[in-house]
Amino acid sequence: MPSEATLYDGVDARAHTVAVRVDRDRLVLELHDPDAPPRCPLAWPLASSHPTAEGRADRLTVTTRLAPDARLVIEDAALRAAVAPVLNRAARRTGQGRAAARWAVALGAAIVVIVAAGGLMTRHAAELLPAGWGGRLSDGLLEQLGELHPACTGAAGVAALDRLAARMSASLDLPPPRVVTVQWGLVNAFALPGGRVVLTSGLIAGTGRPEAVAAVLAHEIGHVARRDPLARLLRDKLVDVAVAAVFGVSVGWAGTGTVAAFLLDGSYTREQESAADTIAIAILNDLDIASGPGSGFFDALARKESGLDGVTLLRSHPLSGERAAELRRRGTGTGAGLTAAEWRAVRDICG
Amino acid sequence: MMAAAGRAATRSGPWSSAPTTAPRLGYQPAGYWRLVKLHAVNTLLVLVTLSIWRFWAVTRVRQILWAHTRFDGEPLEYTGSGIEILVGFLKVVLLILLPIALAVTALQIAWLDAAPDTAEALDLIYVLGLLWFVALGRYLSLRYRTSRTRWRGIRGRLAGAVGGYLWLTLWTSALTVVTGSLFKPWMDALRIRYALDGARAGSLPVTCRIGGGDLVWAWLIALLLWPFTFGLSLFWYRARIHRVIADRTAAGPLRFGFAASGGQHARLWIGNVALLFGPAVLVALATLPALFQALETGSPGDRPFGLAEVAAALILPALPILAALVGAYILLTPIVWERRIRFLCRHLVVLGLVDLAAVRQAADDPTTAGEGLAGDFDAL
Repeated sequence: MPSEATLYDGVDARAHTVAVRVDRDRLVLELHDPDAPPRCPLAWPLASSHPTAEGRADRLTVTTRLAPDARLVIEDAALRAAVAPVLNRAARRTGQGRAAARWAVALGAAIVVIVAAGGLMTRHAAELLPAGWGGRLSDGLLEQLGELHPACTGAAGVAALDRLAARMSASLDLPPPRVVTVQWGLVNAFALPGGRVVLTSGLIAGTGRPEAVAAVLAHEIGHVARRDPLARLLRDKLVDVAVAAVFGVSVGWAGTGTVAAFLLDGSYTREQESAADTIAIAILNDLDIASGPGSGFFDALARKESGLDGVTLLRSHPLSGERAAELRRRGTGTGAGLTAAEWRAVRDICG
Repeated sequence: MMAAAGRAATRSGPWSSAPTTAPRLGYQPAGYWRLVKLHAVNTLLVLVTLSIWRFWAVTRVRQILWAHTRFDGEPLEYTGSGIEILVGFLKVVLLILLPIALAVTALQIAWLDAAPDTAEALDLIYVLGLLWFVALGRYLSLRYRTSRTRWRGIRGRLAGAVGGYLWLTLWTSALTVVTGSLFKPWMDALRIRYALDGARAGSLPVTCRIGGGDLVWAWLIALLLWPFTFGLSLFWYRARIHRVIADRTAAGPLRFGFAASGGQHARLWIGNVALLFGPAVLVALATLPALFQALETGSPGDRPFGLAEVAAALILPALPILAALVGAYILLTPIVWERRIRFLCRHLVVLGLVDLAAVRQAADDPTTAGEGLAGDFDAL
């Protein structure tokens, strides 16, 4: 005994009451009012008939690929129970859906390729930019940092570090970097885009030797020479875009390139660290500064601070045994880099 | 009066095209626990898939909400799909987000060095970009949802091109910022008109004759009252917009009205915010003393706090706040959805009678793309 349902033919909005029965491989729709026939087929092959979006438990809406705009609405519970199992849910997958899937894969791949290529190109892009580029941005960051950790102003100490940095950069034919020491117990140092180098008072207190401070400074100048901070800034921006692509929102659109990002956003690559080391060793050798105390300081730091309380030099500059050994092995210098008076001034730089 | 005439009309059989009563928009509750279950599963999947599931999540929710929203007694049908919305999103990322990210980065690095005084101009460009994103997202969302909504098998369609709307949002946003928001009524009117005028509900042409002049006084008064009403006067402007849109819009023989006052708009919005964040605020207020106590007892005297110490002291007292936030999000978001739909249904008045035989199918929207960033800028 066929049961009643409502048919919308997809051509106009009129409803047609039809009787529905399953006849072997078809849904057969029989009109109640032959005077107002719908303009869609009345025999729907089960293989191409499928439920539409499932939003209600009290009705089953069916359509067919023969007339994708048509809708058969079944509210009768018994008829729903008879029709639902024989429908072909796979028929819902349309060419439009498959095209959308292809688009999604293609666009996703394009984004991945662009971001990956961009990531690889950041180094070259950074090298193409003039040496001082990004300096203003870094000055803004230093200003922000200064609100929490004021810059140390001991004139003699500042002058001593500036002289040392100038000698180091001169050996590489680079403009002298701007070295800022901040009052911060953290044992850390980092370079910012545009030739800015930040040392913390914790680092100067922790090293205990002028050669170690010189080694750290030489290493950061190595990063400056290679434009690593600028490359990192560019890379961070690309990562930000990639994250936005996944999460829908930019987590650090304005946050990338902050001091926190330079401290917390992972480290440079092993290749970048090794290259900065190589430059640092060349600088130390050129200026006849002993590298042994520097590597000893790194070793001691690694032993003492395995817990990484806060953000240490090792967090932003992962140090391996090989790198420390390399520093010790290839260093030929014997001097301190700073005179005794200069070293005293540096130690007292923060008052 | 037209509605009364409609109600007086004679009801005929379901296969008849004869008009019966003035159509009404109504919402039949979908079942609270059903929505909560769906929302909880969606939330979990969004977390597990690093948010990729959100395109499918919004699709499933819309399917249910649409199916329980009736126009003239017949439920709506949502035919959109997650993959389409994902495609739209990826297109926006590739064509808009990526180039803008690169441009902003280049400007930050290069331009600021060359001309540091232009920092404010750069900020303005950035703000305009955000406004533009939001507006574009909303338009794309409306366009997509309209084309994927069916009633009696008949779908809707917006007429405007995305490129035209893009340009419109760009210059109207700029002008609104430059004029200190005085141009906003015209911006709103132009955008609404662009979206609605020429749209189709099946074959029924939609006309929208809203103009900036209809909104300007409401905007100026809302602006003037803003400091004295703590911003609540903006709801009055919002109510005015809704009323004017309804008054100036027609779909074939149908006319519309929207009866909600500014106070009702405010109650809806503030109520929704209170539902989602109120529990967490209450828990925070209740736990604040314990939190301060934890900080004091954990303080190592004169020595400043370390990051780890602060985190350890705060985690335990903050857990109830987090639980309230998550709990409210899972349990109360479905109520927010339904409140918004009920609000629309309660206040939208439809006047006129529609001949069902005259409502014919609209041409299909050929796009396979979804709604761009709408999922992120235009909540349900």
